[in-house]
Amino acid sequence: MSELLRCEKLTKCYGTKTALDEIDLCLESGKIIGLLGPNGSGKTTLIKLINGLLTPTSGSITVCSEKPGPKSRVNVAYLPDNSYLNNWMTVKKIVDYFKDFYEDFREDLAYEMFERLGITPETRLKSLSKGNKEKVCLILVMSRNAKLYVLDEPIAGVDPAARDYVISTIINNYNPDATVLISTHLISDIEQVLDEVVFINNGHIVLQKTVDQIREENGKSVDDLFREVFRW
Amino acid sequence: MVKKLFKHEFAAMGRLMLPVLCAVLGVGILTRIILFFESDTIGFNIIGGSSFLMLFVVMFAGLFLAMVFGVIRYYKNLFSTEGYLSFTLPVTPAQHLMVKSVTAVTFYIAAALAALVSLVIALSGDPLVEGVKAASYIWAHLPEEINKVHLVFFAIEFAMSMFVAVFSSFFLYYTCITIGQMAKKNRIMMAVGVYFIYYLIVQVFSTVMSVLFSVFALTPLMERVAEFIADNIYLCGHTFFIGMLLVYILIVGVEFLVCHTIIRKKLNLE
Repeated sequence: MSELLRCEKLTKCYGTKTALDEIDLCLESGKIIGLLGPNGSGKTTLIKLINGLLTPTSGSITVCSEKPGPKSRVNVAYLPDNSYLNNWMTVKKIVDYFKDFYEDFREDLAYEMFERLGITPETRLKSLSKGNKEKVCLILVMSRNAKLYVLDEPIAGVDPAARDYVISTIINNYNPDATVLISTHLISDIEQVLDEVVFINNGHIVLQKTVDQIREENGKSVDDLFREVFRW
Repeated sequence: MVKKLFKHEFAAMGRLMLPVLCAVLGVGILTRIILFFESDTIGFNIIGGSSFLMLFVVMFAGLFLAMVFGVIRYYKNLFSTEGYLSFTLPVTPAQHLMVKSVTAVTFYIAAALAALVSLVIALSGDPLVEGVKAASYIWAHLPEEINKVHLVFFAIEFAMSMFVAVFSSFFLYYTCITIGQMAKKNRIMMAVGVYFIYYLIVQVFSTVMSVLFSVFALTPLMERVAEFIADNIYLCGHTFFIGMLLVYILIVGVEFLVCHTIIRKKLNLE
């Protein structure tokens, strides 16, 4: 397994508020990793830093041995927690967009998944429901053959049936040599697919273990341990 | 990558600007059709006058919208939720800036050309023929002391300056928006604030320059300068136009550098 992501003393402040406080983190390839923490713990900040959408206040971050930037983005597929697509575009146009910019984009796979959802290439994004728009974003991201998939709250705000669809889309389509980093606070829904978890709270990494380690050492499920660590 | 960026940028801007360009040309054609029914009636005078008024309004509206759409596109595509996609493409900030500005300027020039073509269509027929004849006559009968080659070069230098000035206008708005993104909140308000500060600085500078000029206007030194200009009108003319071009290039360079540095080193999408 090779190292995909490394953060050293990574700090991000918004004015006087410290969102991430000197975190050290190393993620390896070939795993599905849960980035777990309550709301406001720093999950989205970390994910934005990985994607170069925020600039660190101090410390360093490397993705596939590169600082976040055009070179690292070739290897990272990112799903933000809100829809980032142009509403005026059709599904075909947005597929063409991804195909043009990402060499690893698998067009056939994307259309296959759209067909299963009953979404035609001519469908305009603005005519889709919020849930279907989120599924379109997920399909686009998972149709890439990336080294690192970074999914920010992919199952938040969707019904249980849709959650199953999202989870199955992730595990059935990711590149097995890649790492999937999933941020969420809905642990019970995702626990069965995780290999490793990173608990984050108030800008600090409070735990990084494999799911097997948690079960063996703590004798608990990830969900139970999460409730124990983050009890009010 | 740049080619692909251009492809999608032109598609996005074209979607907004093509109806505008068609409207500008359409009003020119409509005005010409109305002029076919020329008569001395009050009714025609009102309709003909209104159609010309509408033509001029639409011509300037086209230019205004080209500027507005170019600026909004920059903000929306880079700093709203769309920025989450734009800034996760394997594309450098310089490529984003270059493609956005060139596309915006292209559509601005297209709006200017559409306005010109629309005017030509509206005036086609006798008014246009007479106008061209008059211009040709003036050109052919210019006094011998006026060097036509220099006039052509003045026109080229002026056109080049205006071309770079259009870039500078877009980059001024881009710079204000980009600096505005450094604020923790109310980023659009911050961008507007930056624009007004810039405007204030320019106004103060030009006022100071005007005062200095009027103070020195009647001094012997300025008289000697005026004499030198009169004796070397072509040299001074070219120096002025090329100087203007270089100043605009310098301004665009500085604005580009500010935007690029902020996006590269200070990007903080909300």
